[in-house]
Amino acid sequence: MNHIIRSIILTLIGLLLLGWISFWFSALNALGPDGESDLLQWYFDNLVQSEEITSSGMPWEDLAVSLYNLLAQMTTALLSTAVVAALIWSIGSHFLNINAPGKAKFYFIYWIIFTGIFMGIVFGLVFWFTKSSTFNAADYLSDGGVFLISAISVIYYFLVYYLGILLGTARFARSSILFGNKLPANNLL
Amino acid sequence: MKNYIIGIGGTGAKCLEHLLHCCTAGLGPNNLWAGLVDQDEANGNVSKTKILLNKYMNLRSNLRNESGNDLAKKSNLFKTQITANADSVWLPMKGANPTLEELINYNLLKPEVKGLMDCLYDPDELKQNLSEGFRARPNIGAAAILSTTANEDDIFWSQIYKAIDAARGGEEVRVFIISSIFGGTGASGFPNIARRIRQIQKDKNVSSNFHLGGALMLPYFNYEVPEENMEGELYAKPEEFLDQTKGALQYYSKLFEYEKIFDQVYVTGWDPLTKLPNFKMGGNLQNNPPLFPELYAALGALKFFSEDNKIGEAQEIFHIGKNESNDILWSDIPNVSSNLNSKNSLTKLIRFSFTYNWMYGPALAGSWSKIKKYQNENWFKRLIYKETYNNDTNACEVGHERNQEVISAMQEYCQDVLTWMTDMQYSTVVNTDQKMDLIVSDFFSEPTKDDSPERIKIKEKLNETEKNQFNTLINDNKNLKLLNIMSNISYKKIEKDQKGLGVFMDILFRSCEQ
Repeated sequence: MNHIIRSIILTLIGLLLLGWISFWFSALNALGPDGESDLLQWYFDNLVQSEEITSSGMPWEDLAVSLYNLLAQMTTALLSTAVVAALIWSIGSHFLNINAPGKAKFYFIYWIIFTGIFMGIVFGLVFWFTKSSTFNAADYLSDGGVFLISAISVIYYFLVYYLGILLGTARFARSSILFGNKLPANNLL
Repeated sequence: MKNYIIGIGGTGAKCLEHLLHCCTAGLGPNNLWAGLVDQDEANGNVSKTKILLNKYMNLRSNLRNESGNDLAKKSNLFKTQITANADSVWLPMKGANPTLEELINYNLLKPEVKGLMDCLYDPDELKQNLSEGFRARPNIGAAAILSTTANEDDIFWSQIYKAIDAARGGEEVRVFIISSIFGGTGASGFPNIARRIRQIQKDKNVSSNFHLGGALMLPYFNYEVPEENMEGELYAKPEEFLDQTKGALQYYSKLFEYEKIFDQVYVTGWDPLTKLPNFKMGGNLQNNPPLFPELYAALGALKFFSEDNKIGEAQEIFHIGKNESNDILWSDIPNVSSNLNSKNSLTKLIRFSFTYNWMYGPALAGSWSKIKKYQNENWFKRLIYKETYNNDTNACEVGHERNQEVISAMQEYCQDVLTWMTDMQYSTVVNTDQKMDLIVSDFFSEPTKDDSPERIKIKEKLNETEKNQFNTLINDNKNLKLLNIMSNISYKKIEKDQKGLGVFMDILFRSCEQ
C-alpha cells in the first residue's frame, strides 16, 4: 500500500509540472472575457471565423463569453481526464503481473493500448466541444481554430498525462512505458 | 560474548546442519565457533555438514567484505560469523583402522588389568575396527574418548582452552554440545567431553563467565536392519535404543544430582519414531535425512546463545514437544527469543532461496553480454548495475569471475536450503501417520528412486505455472506472490554501508517478508 501511495504522490507531482498551466488557463476562461485583453484578441484572430462574425452582425462580446465558457469547460474536462488516466495507470501498474526479471517490457503493449484509449478520449472530448451545439461559439470556430485547439490539446494533455505516469508508474513496471527506464534509479524516484 | 558449538556423532552433525540454516536466516548469535566430533570421519552426515559449514563460511566471507560485497552489519542474512578449525572434525582416535585393543595397549597390560578389560569388553569389541565410529557401543566410545589427551596442543581442545581463557579475561563464553543419547559416538562423547571441559575450567580456576549447555536427543527415529550379511557385525540396533536411553537417563539423573555439569540441558525426542528408509552401518553411505526433532535441538542451542537467555546458578533442564495431533505445524516451532521469531526467519529464508534459485540467480549468472538485457530495469540499475560499476574501467562488473563465483555459490546454497527443508518435511513423516505441511514442495521437487542416496531432487527449471505457485510455497496464508517480491526489491531502502552484491542479496532477503 505504501508503494501505491508513493506512486499517487509522484503522479500528482508529475501532473503538476505542466498541468498547472491548464488549471490556470481554465480559471482564466472561467472568469470570462476581460475588456480588450490580448487573449481575447488572439482568440478573435486565430480561433474564430472573424469575417463571418463581422458580416453576421453577431456581437463579438457575446460570442466571446460563450467561447471562454467552452474553453474553460473543455480544458477542465481534458485535465480531469488526464489526471484520472494517469492515476489509473500509476495505481494499476502495481498490479501488472511483472513477477520475473525481463518481464516488464512485455507490458509495453498494455501501456500503448491504455494510452491509445486515453488519446481517443481526448480526441473525443475536443471533437464534442468544438462541434457541440451547447456553445454558440462552436458554430463560429474556424477550421484552423479547430485544428489548433485539437493539436494543442492532444499534444499538451498527452504531455501532462505522460509526465504523471512517468513519475508515478511502479518502479518495476517502468520498462513498460516509453523512456520510463531512462529515469534515474535512486531511493527518491 | 563468545559462543562455541560441538556436534558429536551423526546426530550432532545433523543438528549442526539445521543450526547452520537457522544462522543463515538470522537466528544465530553474532559469532560462533563450530566443531564436530566423530570417529567415523567419512560418515555421510558428517561430510555433508562439513561441506555445508565450508559453504556457509565462504559465502559469508564473500558477502561481508568491507572492501567488496558487503551485506552490512544490520542485515540478518548470514548474520552469524561462524569459524571452525581447518579440519572441523575431531577424531578421538587417530590412525588408520584403530581398534580399542590398540588404543589401550591391551597386549602390554598386566594380567589383572587384562582380566578387567575382558570383563568390560568382549573380544569382538576389542578387535572391532573403529574407523567407522563406535557402532552404538558407548562403552567403547567412552573408553576411547577418555583415553585421548585433552591438551592445549590439540587443535580441537585448544579452542576450548581459548574459550576458558577468554572467560577468565572477563568475556562471557557459552559452549553448547549436541548429540544423541542413544548410539555410540554421541552417547559416549556427550558426558565425557562435557566433564572434560568442566575439568579444564576447574584446573584454570575459572568460576564465572563460562557456561556449558547441551542438547540431548532421545530416540526419534528407527530403521529396519536387513537380515542378510549382518552375522557377527557390530552395528546400532534400533530395538536397543529405548533400553540404552533408559540406562543413559538413569546415569544422567545421578550425574546431575551430584555434579553440575551443564548450566542448561535441552532434551527432545519424538513419538512416533520416524522410520528411516534405509540402513547403513556407517561410512559415507550413512546419509540420514534431516528430521524435524533435530531442528528443536538446533533452536535449543540458539536459545542458549541468545543474549536474552539469562543463565542462573541452578542447573536447568528444558524439554519440548509439539502439539498433540499428528500434524506438524509452524506453531510447533519455538522462537529463539522474544525478538527472534523462528517461523518468520525460516519462511523468509525459504522464500529467498526459491526466488534466488529460480528467478534472480539465473538472471545474474553468466557474462555481461547475457546479463545486460536487464540493465534498464529499475531493480537491476539500483541494486546491481550501480553497485558493481567500476569507475576505472567504466563498466558494470557483475559478469566478472569474482562476482559470478558469489552468484553461483549463493544459488548452490539456496538449493541446499530448499533440499534441507523439503527432505525434512518428506522424511520426518514418511511411512508414519504424521502430516507435515509447512511448505508445499511437490511443484518444485520430487522424491528420487529408492536406490538413490538423495531422497529429494530439486527441479532444475520450473515452468511458468510452477513458478506462479510461489504464493502457496509456505503454508501461512500470507499469499506473498512473486509480483510482491519484484515490487519489494524495487522499493526496499538500501542500508548504509551495503556494497556490491551484498546490496541485492540483503534486499531480496528482506523482500521475502510480508
